[in-house]
Amino acid sequence: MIDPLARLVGELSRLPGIGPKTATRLAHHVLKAPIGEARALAEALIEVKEKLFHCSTCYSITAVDPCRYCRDPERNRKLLCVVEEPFNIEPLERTREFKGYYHVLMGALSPQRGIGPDQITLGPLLERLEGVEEVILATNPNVEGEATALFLARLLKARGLRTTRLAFGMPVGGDIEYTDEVTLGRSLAGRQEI
Amino acid sequence: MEAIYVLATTRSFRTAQLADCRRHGKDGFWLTGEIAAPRRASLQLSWSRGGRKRGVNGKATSLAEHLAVLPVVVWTAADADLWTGAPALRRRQMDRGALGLRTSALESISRYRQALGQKRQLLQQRVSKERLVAWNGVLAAAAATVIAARADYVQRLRVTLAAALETSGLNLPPIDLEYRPSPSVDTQDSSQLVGAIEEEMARAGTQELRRRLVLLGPHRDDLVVQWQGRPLRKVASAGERKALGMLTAAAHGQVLKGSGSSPIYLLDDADAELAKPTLKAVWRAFDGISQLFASSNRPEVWEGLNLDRRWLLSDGKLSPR
Repeated sequence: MIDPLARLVGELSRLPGIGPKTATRLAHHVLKAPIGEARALAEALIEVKEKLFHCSTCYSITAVDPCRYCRDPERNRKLLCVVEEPFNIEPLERTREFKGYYHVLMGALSPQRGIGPDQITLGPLLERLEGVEEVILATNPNVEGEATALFLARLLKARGLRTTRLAFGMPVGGDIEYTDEVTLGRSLAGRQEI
Repeated sequence: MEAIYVLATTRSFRTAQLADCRRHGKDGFWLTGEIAAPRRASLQLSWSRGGRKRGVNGKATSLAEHLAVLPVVVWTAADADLWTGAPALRRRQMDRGALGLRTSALESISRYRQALGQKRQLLQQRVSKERLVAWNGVLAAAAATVIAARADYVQRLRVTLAAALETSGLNLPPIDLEYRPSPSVDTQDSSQLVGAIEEEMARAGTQELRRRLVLLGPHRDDLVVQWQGRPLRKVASAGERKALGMLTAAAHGQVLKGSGSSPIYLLDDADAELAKPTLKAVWRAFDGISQLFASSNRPEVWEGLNLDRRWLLSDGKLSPR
């Protein structure tokens, strides 16, 4: 029989960003916690798997299909924001600036990780463009995210859609003196007239 | 000297693995140094099986910030082949220079390498030419910044190397440095650089798919040195190559100094089997620099040269001479 503590450490180690040391620390924390807390954690894990799934339209995480974003009639049907992962939606929602619909790609192009156009939700994206006038490409500003944005931009522009990309620049409340050269350089390149 | 270099750059000039830098029988190592100029700071670097940890003034920082604290100019016996060996040596030299001028070049170089790795992988799969376009776009944007940074460094090195040659008084003809970027583009026209590179990459697409190789980009750049129109590698003697290698280290340091930094020079096995008069001439190019450490196993050739201090390393212990 496997030692229950070793089993918990092993399972926690499989989570992204959790190494053996952190897994051991978390496992000991669970061991010390009251049984009620441990049970609540276990139930939360099961509940997430049993009750949540991807929206059949936009691929965000939801308990009801279609999701609350896709069901919302107040949103602007002409605007579609494309993100890499479901958890990218929440920060955009918190801005309260965007009132369009979302589409989650479920990843970004990465030949090294075996992710090509067939491994992301490209087909469903192209199928839901009727009535859309502008697509905002909100993929991450890393190599994979940039390549994905460029790849999508070509396809979308060929369909006559206005295609935009999130701007890069200095953080609000930041100080020029402490801004790194790359960010400052991009801020200069993307400067706007006032 | 290796300890100073590792502390300053988080890498070794001797080995690709930091694991090889620890003492025999030890699990890791820890380095710390107090930097007095250009700004007072302390640097830390440790390595163990868990990985490397770096710090500036006791705090974890980005690699670019760490590198900016203590600029170093290194010369080892391997650098004697700089001008005649594989192009990869000269690309490394140009990247050292680009980083020395602006640590933000690190982001561009790293981004280019990531995009290159992705495109190489893509070429191994049987894909259409259209699939290359997006990666060419990312690659061209990163390539443009790498090429511009290398071109800027070479332009400065050209001036300082000519001055170092003149200061040395060595009876060598003037040399000409020519940066050959890949693809061959006009590096002066920065506004058109990305577009020009992307265009060349698109042209090479069919051939790249056939050969499954990335044929264009700064990973294929070279820096060609000529003596009166003839390639240096064909006409220079072994001694001339070594002397030029060391003069390049001096000139490289002057480039960094010109941009406001004050590098420490580390010359390993510095006599480089040079005859005493040649060493004396080369040594003149290092006159007036702030701090330099040199090692040699021929103490006799250093007699009469302008040195502040000398130590003898024997049985693992340093003693003043």
